[in-house]
Amino acid sequence: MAEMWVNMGPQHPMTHGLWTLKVKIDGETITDAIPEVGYLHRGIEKIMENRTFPQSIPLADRLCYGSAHSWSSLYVFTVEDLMGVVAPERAQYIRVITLEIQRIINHLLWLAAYAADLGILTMFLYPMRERELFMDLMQMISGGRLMYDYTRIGGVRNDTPDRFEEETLKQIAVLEEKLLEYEGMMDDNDMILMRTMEVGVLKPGDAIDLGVTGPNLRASGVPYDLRRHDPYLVYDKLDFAICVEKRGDCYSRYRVRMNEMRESMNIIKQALKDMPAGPIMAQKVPKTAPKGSEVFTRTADPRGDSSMHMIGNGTDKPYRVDIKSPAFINISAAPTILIGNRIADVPSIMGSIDVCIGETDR
Amino acid sequence: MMDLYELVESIVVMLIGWIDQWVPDQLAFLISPTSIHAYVVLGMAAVILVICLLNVVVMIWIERKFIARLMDRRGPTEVGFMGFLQNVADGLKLFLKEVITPQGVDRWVYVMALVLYIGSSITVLALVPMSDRFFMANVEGGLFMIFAIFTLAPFFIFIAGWSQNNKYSLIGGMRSAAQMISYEIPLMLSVIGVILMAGSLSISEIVNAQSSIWFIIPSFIGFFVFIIGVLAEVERIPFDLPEAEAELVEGWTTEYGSIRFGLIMFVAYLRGYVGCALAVFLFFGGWLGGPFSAYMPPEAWFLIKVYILFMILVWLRASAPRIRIDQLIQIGWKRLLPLAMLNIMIAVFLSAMGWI
Amino acid sequence: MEINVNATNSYRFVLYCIIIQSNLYILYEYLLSIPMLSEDYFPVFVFAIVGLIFPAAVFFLNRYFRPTKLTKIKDTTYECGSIPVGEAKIQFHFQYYMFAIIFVVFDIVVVFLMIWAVVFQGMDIKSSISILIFIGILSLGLMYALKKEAKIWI
Repeated sequence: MAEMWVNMGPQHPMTHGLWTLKVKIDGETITDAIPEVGYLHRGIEKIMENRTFPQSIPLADRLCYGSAHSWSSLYVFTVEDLMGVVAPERAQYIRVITLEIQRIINHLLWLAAYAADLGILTMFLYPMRERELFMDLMQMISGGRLMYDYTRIGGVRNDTPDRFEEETLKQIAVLEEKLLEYEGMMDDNDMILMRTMEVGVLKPGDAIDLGVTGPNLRASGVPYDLRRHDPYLVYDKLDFAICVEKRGDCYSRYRVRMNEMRESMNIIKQALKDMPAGPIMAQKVPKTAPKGSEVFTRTADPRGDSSMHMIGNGTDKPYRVDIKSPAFINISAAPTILIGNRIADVPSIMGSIDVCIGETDR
Repeated sequence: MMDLYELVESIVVMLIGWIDQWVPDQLAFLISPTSIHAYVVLGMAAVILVICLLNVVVMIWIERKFIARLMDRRGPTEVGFMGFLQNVADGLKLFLKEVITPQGVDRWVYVMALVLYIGSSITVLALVPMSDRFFMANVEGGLFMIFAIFTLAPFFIFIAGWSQNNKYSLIGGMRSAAQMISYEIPLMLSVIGVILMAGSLSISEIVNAQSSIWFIIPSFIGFFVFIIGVLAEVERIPFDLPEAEAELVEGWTTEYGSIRFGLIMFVAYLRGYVGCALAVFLFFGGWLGGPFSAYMPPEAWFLIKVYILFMILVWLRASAPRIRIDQLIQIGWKRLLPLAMLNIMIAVFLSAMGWI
Repeated sequence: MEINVNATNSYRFVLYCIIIQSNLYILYEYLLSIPMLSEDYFPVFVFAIVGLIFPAAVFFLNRYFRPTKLTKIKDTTYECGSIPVGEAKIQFHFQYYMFAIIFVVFDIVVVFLMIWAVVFQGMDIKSSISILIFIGILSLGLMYALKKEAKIWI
């Protein structure tokens, strides 16, 4: 009789989006947890089957509000693989730059939301402020601030505008300075350390078994980064480090993301320097996918490895689309992380694994 | 110097002087000296209540503007001068909202716990003077009485949390009780150093004892422990566990809507005011302005000190996350309690050497 | 039911009011005759009543300003948008029970210490030392209790 089930969500401040975490508590200690998703299911995979290939690009943007560009890019990469199109090198560099800007935007949004989960509202507003700068960059290049609709099959929609390189370097300099400010507020704050250190530990073995990828896996001490181990675009030509932390707790997940932002800025700088001149669209882009073609494409989303499986049947529409979202797997790892912790740590833990319901429910 | 009692008394006597010729003999007791005393006390209560209401409006405004500045935004700007009336507008909005009493609540306890919570918090104001002439009751055991009434609130929060038949509020109420049991001891122990140096429990005597030196200097550790204890007692952000909105939605206030919630928020700030006022009395010389006392009336000195201290608490709120309940209890018993003991030892030492 | 309002009734009403008021007045005089209330604590007593009336009056006044459109869904207990699972009024696990017991001991100690602090300056050295020994023993007991924390944290 002393144990009870507590619903956290769908209408709960801890859940960023519509999902439910059922938690069984004994006193303040969690003894069981069941995540429930599916409130936001829109049938995006099915809709994609009924649209031509270019028509689905803006739809793929809607998979996640936090990192729209990485999802539309994944869709475009899959279609390119299906059709056998290769984007020109300049387009690939532009894609790397925009994807890394998107990663920074996503991690800043995560940092803001995580700070709000911990109850420190000042840190909610600071990263949001710098996120605006990077959204301005994306607006410069694509016209959109949240949903960009920028990549195209075989290249990108438009070339970089004038002053783009200059502006990007300026904003990167700003963020590099501000990251130190964030660290001053988070890492030098004993109360933050108390709330995040040794909380929600995910062991490396568990993480691999559960299929957790991305920053959460790297925080558990597994040096796995798709950009390095299965390079796409021009990532093999760029020099960057894989950010790994050892402990696997919330603090490690926070550190990994902070370091990833630095690495992303590094990558952007290199890509801006190396970017060749040339066309931004492939010469010839077919309208249909060959009959019987089937591909499976992965990219390193800011949340982990997102992958898409697509089958073509000779028409201008895909026969079947499957989307595998990293956030879905991270959410299903929740019970393993949560059990044994206290109910007060639920926001801290679930915030640290970066949940996006748009892509989870698809 | 005319004090508040004499001021109100003169007004009451003037009013009664106008009407006493029409008062029939049966009702003569209504204008007897004892009754006049009662009217004066009621009038004082009204004056103090109104002034504290205004004070709370000012404090919410300070908090909103100051925390907005710390967060790199502007805060309220539209309603009134620099958004000063925004709080009034918000209160009015809450006043016009529908009251929902959900199923399964223990109705009687649900309302009574709230009334008692608000009532007990307001009662403390009777014992919090603003200066040596602006006070309601100047009693011998004032400090003791303030603590006695002030720390009643967690009991009502606990009852209110239980009565709502809501899991979040149940946990919130439990946390409130846990917070109280671990922070009341350090809070009261930290004050003992001050009492020892002042040799009295009366607020006015404690303040007057600080005419040469503020007690924050000899008993800095005491102030440190006290302000943390007050933060926990008034449930402001590093310690707002009973209403931790990230995990417990709104904690024990979840099922209180409309003006009920409005009054809870009002009382939260009222308690913040009382906590800051206590700190000012005990450690910052109360209404004494020191060598500059001639420039401003004592009430103004007192309020300025309270506001500055409150701004420090707002600053803390802007830079600290919410702490976890087991860590809170650990800090309370393992850090603050020994510190408070150390503070008493220092006070005993200073007092025995005759330095204070 | 109609209320018959006539001169006799209203006269009676006033009379009753006066009688009740005079009784209240006698009670009030009696309260004042209790020394503590009459001297300093009477304003506190009055303020306590004002403090209790204030929220009650606000809640009462609120009736005439608010809309009331209750529906069944609105009446349900808030459980983040889901239908509540089970009761919340259960025999819940209060993990801080042992701390509560230590608290009960210390609360009394604090009262002792406060009174001791008030009269400290008038005391001789012997009584000061004895209270310090008292605090010392208590601290030892507290240290022991907190060392056993793994056991007392139920």
